[in-house]
Amino acid sequence: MAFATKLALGDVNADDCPPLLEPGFEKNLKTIRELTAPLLSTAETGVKLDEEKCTGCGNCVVACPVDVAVEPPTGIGKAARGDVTVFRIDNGVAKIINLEKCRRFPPDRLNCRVCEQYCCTDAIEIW
Amino acid sequence: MDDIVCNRCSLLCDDVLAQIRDMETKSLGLCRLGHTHLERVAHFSKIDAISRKNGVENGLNLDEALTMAAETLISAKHPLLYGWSRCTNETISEGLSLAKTLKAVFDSSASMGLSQSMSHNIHNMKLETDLEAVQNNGEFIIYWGSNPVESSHRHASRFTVFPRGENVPQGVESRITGVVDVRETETMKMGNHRIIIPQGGDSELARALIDDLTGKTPLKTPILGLPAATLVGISQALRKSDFTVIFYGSGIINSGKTAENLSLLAELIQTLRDLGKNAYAMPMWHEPSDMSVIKSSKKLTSTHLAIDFSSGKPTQLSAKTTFQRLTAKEFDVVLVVGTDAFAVLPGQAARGLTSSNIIYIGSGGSLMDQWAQLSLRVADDIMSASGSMTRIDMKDIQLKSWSGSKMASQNVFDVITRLHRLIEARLKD
Repeated sequence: MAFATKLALGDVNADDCPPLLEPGFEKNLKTIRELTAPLLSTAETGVKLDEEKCTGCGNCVVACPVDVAVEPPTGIGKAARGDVTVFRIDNGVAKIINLEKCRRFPPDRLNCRVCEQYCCTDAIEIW
Repeated sequence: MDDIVCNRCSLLCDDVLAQIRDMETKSLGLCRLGHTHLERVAHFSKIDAISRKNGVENGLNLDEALTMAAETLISAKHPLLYGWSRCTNETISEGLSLAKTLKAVFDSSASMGLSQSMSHNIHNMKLETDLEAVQNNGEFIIYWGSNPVESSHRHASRFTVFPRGENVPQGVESRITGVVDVRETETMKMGNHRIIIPQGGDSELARALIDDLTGKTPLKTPILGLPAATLVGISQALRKSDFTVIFYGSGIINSGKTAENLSLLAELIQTLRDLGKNAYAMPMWHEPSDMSVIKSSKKLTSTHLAIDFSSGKPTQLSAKTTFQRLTAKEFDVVLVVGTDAFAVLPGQAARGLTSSNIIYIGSGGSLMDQWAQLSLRVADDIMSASGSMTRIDMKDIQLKSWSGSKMASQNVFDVITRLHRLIEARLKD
């Protein structure tokens, strides 16, 4: 369980588990690698935003915990006006202007999906 | 970039920025509707006027156009002043005054819905609050027959569902959201309770909730095909919430049972209040100036519907509605102000309008601008940014002058005022 917790937090990876590297566990190793891939590096996770679907409602801006922390007025529903947030509504549609600040990326590596969850037009997709 | 106030919808967002440079429009915070609106009107800030006769267009200067408009309106037997959906409070007051001078009928897009709720007891019972109070306190937000994702994009993010407030510190995580509609809407994606009811089932649902809340008839059997457990869930959420707000929209007003629906929503809110809860019902309408029209009209008459000045005194248009009179081609001259009437009027009324002599005052590029016998193109109020507008919760929002305002030498208010003075002078002569 302790290993699973560390795995979920991204502190270790599947290859750190010796039994998984033994013959016969190849399928398990592959599955766990796939499951934990989003936690490991920016190259293997991401937030995709379809501007054609976006209405610029700003739900993502206000729901994103990072945005609220770095530009507090967004927490009370105000538009993001600086260049420090993850999301900002530019020219009528949401733009991801600081993807590296997303909590899915190091050092947090959290499985946060609030922007995707509350995007009413399904413009945001997380993988 | 400059601070601006967006006049695209009834939220009148005043926390947004914009800039126009080298014909390129940039904005921060404006939703797609707002940005598209600004982009469109920014290119039509230069005033000019066009008259059309037998398919031939003639360019006019402003004085020529005003003279032509004044003569046409003075000679009209049954004039209608219609529109006002994106105008300031000051313009609307001047428009009402002009209607009085001309003994005309004054009407707006508010007649198609908002006026009906503002004329109903649901408004007289003072069940409304302001959007800041909702932001700071709203625990249970219900969109009933309204779809903000489609019409007022920032409603949920700015005021109701997502923002943190004084008594809802976790924002969306401190609130419960319910959506009631006759179909699955995009708004339902943010709903904890998603209720799809048959067309016209609003009053039955409201009655079932009232009866459950009062203990008269506990919810035990399906209602409107919905499982009792689903309805018990929403009823329990109503009981738990200390601050409930129902945003009701066109689904309630245009369902064919307007008065009954509104009465039952009012009764539901009153029931919650009797249980010691804070509860409110607020209209949800997207046209930005509908509430301005209602507020300005209220100063003249008790009615919120179309006003008939033909007797010299403001009275509620009786017997027939404006739409019925338009359909019957009863108005010989129609002054359309700040509204693309062809885009908002019901089909038959729009067809009837085509038989009238139309004078249009508004931003260029609209269907109205391309059709009217006389079109006076003026800067949209998002550009000229002078005066105030009334938000959907009846709060007045002052427009903010910005660098784009320099591109707007005259706005609708200026033109309506000049037209009115000209007409008054001619009538004196």
